[in-house]
Amino acid sequence: MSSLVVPGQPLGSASAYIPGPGVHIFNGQIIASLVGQVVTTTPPSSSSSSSTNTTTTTTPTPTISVQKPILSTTATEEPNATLLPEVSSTVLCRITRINTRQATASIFSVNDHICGDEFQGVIRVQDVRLTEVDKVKIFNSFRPGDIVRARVISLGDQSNYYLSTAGNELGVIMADSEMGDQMYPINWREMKSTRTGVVEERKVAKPF
Amino acid sequence: MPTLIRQPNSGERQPPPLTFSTSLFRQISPALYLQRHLLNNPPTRPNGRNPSQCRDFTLTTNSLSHAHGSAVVRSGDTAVVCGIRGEILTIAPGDDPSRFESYNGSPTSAIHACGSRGAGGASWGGLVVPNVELSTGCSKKYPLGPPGGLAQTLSDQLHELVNVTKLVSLDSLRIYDGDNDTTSKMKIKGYWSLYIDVLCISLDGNILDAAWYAIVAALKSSKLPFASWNQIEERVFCDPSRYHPISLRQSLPFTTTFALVPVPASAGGEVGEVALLLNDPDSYEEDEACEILTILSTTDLGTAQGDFSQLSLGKLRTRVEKIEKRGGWKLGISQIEDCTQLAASKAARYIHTLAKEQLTPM
Amino acid sequence: MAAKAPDRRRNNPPSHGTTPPVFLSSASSGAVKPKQSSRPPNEIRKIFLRTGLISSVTGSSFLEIAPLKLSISVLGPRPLPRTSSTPFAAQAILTTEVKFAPFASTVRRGYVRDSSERDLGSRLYQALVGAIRRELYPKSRIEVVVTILDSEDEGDDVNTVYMEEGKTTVETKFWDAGRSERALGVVLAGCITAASAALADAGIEMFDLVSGGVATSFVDEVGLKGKGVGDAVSNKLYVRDPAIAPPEGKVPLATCVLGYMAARDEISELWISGKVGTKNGTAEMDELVDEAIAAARSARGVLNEAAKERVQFIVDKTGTTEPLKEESTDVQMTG
Repeated sequence: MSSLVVPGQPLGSASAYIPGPGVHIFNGQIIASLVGQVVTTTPPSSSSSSSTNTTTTTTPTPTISVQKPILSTTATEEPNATLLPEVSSTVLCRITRINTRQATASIFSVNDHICGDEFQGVIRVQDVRLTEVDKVKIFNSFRPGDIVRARVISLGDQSNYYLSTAGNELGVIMADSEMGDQMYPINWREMKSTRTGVVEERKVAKPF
Repeated sequence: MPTLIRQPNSGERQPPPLTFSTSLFRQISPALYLQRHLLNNPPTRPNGRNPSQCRDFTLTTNSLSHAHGSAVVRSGDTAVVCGIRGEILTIAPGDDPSRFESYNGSPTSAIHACGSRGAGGASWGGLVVPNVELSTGCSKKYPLGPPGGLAQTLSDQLHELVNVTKLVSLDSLRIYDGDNDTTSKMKIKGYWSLYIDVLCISLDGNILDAAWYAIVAALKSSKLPFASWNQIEERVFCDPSRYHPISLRQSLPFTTTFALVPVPASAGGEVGEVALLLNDPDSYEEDEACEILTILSTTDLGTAQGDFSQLSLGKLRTRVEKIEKRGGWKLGISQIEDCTQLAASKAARYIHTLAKEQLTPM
Repeated sequence: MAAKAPDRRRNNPPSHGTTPPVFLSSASSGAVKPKQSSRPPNEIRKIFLRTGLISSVTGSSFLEIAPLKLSISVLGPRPLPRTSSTPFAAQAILTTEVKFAPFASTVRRGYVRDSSERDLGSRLYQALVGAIRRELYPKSRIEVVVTILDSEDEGDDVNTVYMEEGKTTVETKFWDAGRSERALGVVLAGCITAASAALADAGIEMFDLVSGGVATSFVDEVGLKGKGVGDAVSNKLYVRDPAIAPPEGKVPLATCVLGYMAARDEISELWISGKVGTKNGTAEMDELVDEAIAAARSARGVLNEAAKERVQFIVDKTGTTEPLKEESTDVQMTG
């Protein structure tokens, strides 16, 4: 018997487990909602100490979840096709167009996983950086084609996720100069062309 | 394995290297990702093939119950289903059948290709009607709904190929007056019109080759009911017990498609790019290609016919019927010759697979 | 045939218009002898179901039940269309499209979806929409696209003219009135089962898999013509997953198609057409629905195995069936 479960398959009583990802509760039962392997994790002892005041037992409630196994050995990682941007997830996006109020970007990676489709987001001028917000100019922060690391601050409206680059580690991580050659960051607001040495302004992410 | 994006000419100030995972690199900078692979020695494509290698393909014919002929071709992750249904075109009294016969006589396809989609509907002679359907959820890149640009282009290309190669001979499409005896010249009362529908089930590049091969194989496998004009009822009837194949031209033509991808010239001058030819490109390569080269050729297997293992490329007699190259990249004659050789070997494999399906090419 | 307006996006047939081939049969008896299946009425046809054959979409499946062949793609969750008419959606929007290939039936189909295809699409939507955990995929859409490559119908008999004593009878001899419901029912049940497999293959979270089931009730030909209703009830024959040809000497009463979530014992979509008597309360309908549920239960086993295909492949490839984390004990399966 294979250890794989399918959606609808009961995994145990809802009182015995904390439901994790890939499961749901129906009629007091934990039910799988994905095809995958059942994983139960017992929380570390810190949480078990909190449960000692209950008289029943000292064993902490394990978390149960259903996970898809990952094919980690191959060179090309499978993109996670069902991944969606959520509030506070870190995304990578490509700037597609800019105007004075906002930069529009196409999100292609969420929390270091490639997503199946590209989602549209906007970085409004007040969300570009933390300090001196009123002096920010979009034109001096992003250009179309730049690769930007940003954080989702809101699901936004029907078409755009709202993104922010206010933070040291957020901002442009890859950019080409106006001449079309690669640039590297020289400080938090400037990047320099590798070939011509021309310096252009950007909201640069702190390299690490 | 992290991949480094670093400039080859490292200046005095080393830019901090930026590391990405392979899948991110592939996503962020597809052109560079492809180039890095092709600049390896030996050049290897991201899909693991070498530049002149095509994908393996499979062919299944006549698996559909309602089509007069059908073929399923799967080449890598591109899969198409081609179904052929014949319908009857009855010549009304006063119509001149010779205008349909112009299908054979017409030297160029321009009239057919333009006319069939023109304002007035179909042109005379367009008895073979190929259409490609991409809105089947075959890829997330093509939206559902009416045919988009690619589907229209493909339908038109295939229509032109059918016409320019004169693939279907009119002999088996004519419908005669059944009551005439065979000695006198029989009167043409109608024609079979062939609806060729190619549905793309899965799309991963180079759909033209797959679709064309599916069309040829499906036509080859087709059986039309024997039809004749019934004078009493004044209409065309088919005999449910007698079927005949569709006769095709003598040597079957096949297409072979290459993608031209610009890579930096490795030798000599730093600036400038040369085009590298990739046989049977997948979607990722097609997106980065600067142009597409398609060769239409026929191959004569000669004596080695039937035994594919004894085939050597040298024995193949190849005739190029058409070269289509859209774009302005320079290609040397030697490169074209290489492509022709590859096209010949591909055609040999096509014919061999057809033979395995008991569809011996005439 | 009147020439329709040409489709500017496609290659069009000759402007004369063409007609489907019409067969002339000399068999004077005329009556079509449909092939009888040797299958017991409570057994469904063998289902061939594979998933993950299309690499460029999120999930996919291919289903084959005797002549029926269909391919399903699941796209998304993907962004909502940019048109301003689409409002913000807190839950995923499901769309279902069903299209027959032009060569999938005896009468050639058009390229634009017709009413029966739209009807199948909306019924498939009903069957699936309740099973998907749509709240996990805000402001996105999930598209299910069904392409039917081959289906069961009357075959060339619909286009056959019979010759009787030198004269031809133009009227076509259909088998019975309920055949199109049976044919569409089998297609819909196949669509539901295969779409569930494709959604599971895509890794979209669901409350349960939905399997499709179809059953038809038949009575004796004389039983229907006679006045005794009780007589007809006694001779009732239920056929699961019915073929288009009715059993010898039987006429159909009603056909039931449903989408069934076996683990929760819930019906997500129910479609009954035909004559279902209410004289004996709802017993007749209950019996018919129970038969369809039984057919759906039979399909569920195949569905479970097909849904696991992609994950099983990964497990086999990594060579370990051990779950990733520590403390991984197999959980007791209840039920």
